Amino acid sequence: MSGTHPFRDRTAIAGIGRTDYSKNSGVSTLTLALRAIRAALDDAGLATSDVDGVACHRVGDSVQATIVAQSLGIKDIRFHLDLFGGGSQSAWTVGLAAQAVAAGVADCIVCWRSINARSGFRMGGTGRAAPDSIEFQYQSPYWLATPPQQFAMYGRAYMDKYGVTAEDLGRVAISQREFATLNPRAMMQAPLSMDDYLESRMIVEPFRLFDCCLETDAAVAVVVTSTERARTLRQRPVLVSSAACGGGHTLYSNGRDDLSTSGAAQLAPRLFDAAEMSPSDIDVAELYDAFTPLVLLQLEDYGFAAKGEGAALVAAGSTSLGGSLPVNTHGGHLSEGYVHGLNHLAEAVDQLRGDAGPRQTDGAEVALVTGQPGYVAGTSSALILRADK
Amino acid sequence: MTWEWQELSGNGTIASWIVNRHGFGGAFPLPSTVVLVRLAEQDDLLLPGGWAGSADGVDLSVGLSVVVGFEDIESEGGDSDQAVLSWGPRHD
Repeated sequence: MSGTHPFRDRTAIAGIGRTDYSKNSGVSTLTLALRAIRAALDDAGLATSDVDGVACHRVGDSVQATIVAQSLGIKDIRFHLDLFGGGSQSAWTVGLAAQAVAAGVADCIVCWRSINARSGFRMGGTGRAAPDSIEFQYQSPYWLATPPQQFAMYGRAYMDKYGVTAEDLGRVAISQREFATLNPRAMMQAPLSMDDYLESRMIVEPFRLFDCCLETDAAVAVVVTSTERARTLRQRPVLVSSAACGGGHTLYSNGRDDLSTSGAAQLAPRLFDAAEMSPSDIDVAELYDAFTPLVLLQLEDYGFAAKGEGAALVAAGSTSLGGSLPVNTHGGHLSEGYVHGLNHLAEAVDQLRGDAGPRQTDGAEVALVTGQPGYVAGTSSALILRADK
Repeated sequence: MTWEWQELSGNGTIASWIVNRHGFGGAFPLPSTVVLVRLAEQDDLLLPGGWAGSADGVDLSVGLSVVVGFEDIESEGGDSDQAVLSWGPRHD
C-alpha cells in the first residue's frame, strides 16, 4: 500500500526516556523532565544540541515547556508547545510535534510529561484551588471534584446501559496487573485475584480501589524527528502512521446525550483512515486507563468490539498476555504508574522495537496509543505507530 | 454574545449517580450521593446535584423521574444567601 496521506509515516519516535516511578521523587518537575529528556536523547543517540523543539501537556502542575528549553540550553528554538490538558492531550502533544516536524518547522522535538502527582499536585485533588474550568462551578457545591468521582459518574452510565459488572471491571485490573508483574518498573507488582479486587475498599461507587489508577511522581519523554533522520540514529525507528484529536463529553452541556460512548468513537475512523489501516491491523493497544471502564469503552469505540462487547473480549483473554490484542502491556496507569499517557506511548515504542522482554507481544508491528477517550476534558487524541521495516 | 436566564420545569431523569465512600479531603458526610440529572427540556443538558433520598443511593436508577428541590446553605461569609440543588423522586 502506498502512502497517500501526507503525514503518514513521515516522522518517527527515535528515542524514549523515563525517570524512576515513585510516590515521592524529592525533586522538581523541571528536574524530572530534564532526566527523562536526557534519557530519551541518550536512547536515540542524540545530544541536547540536536534539539530544536519542545512540547508538553500539563494542567498547571508542571514546569513550563520554555523553561525546560532554556534549561536544555537550546539557543534557537523553532517549536514550542505547552498544551493545557491532562490525559486527553497525551497523544496530541506528540501528534502536533510530529506534524511540526513533517511540515519542516523543526527537526528534533522532545515531548514529555513530568509530574509529581503524588507528592506534589494531586490530580483534581484537595488543598488547592479548583482547576480553571467552567464546569467546576456546577460540581463543587456537591464535592464532585476529583477524577474518580467524575469518571464514576460516566462509568455507571456505561455499566448500566450494557450490563457491565464489577467482575468485568475486575478482569481489566487483573489482566493489567499480570503484565505489571513482568515489568520491573511497575509500581504494583503483587498478583491481583478477583477476590482481592472485589474485596478492595469502595472509593466512590461503582469504583473500588483497584478500578482507580495510581498517583505517581515521574516523567517520560520521547524524541520526535523525521523518519529519514531517525533511520540514521541508534534505535529502530517507530513511525507515526497517524495522529488524531477529537471532541468528547464535558459536563454538562456537551452536545452529546449518550454518556456510554466516548469521543474516541468519532476520532477513530479518521485515525485509521489516515494510517490506511483498520482495527484488525493493530497488534498491541495501549489504552488510556485512568479507570477500568475506559478500557472497555475504548475497545468498543476504537472498533475492536461491538458496543457493549468490550467486556466479553477481556473475559475471553484476548487483551491479556498472549491474546490476540494485548492491552496495556506495561500494566497501564492502573499498575505500572501514572504518567498521564506518556508511559503508554513509551511502552508502545518498546513493544514495536521488540524491547519489552517477558511481556513482549510476538510480532508486534503496529500499535494503537490513546489518550483519555474524551470524558471530563471534552477532547481526546490517539496515535497509530508502526515499526519501521 | 449575551447570556440569558431561562426558566425550566425543574423536571428531569437520572442519567447517572455516584456514592462517595471516600472523603477526598472534603468535609461531607459518608456515604453521600451525587446525581447527574438529564434535564427534561434538552437531552444533552446534564446537571449534577445532591440527592434528597437515600444517602447510599439505593433508591436510584437510570431513567428515574426526578424533580428539583433547593437547599439553603451557609456561604463562607456566614450568610444564608446561597442554595444548592437537591433532587428527589417525582411522583406524577
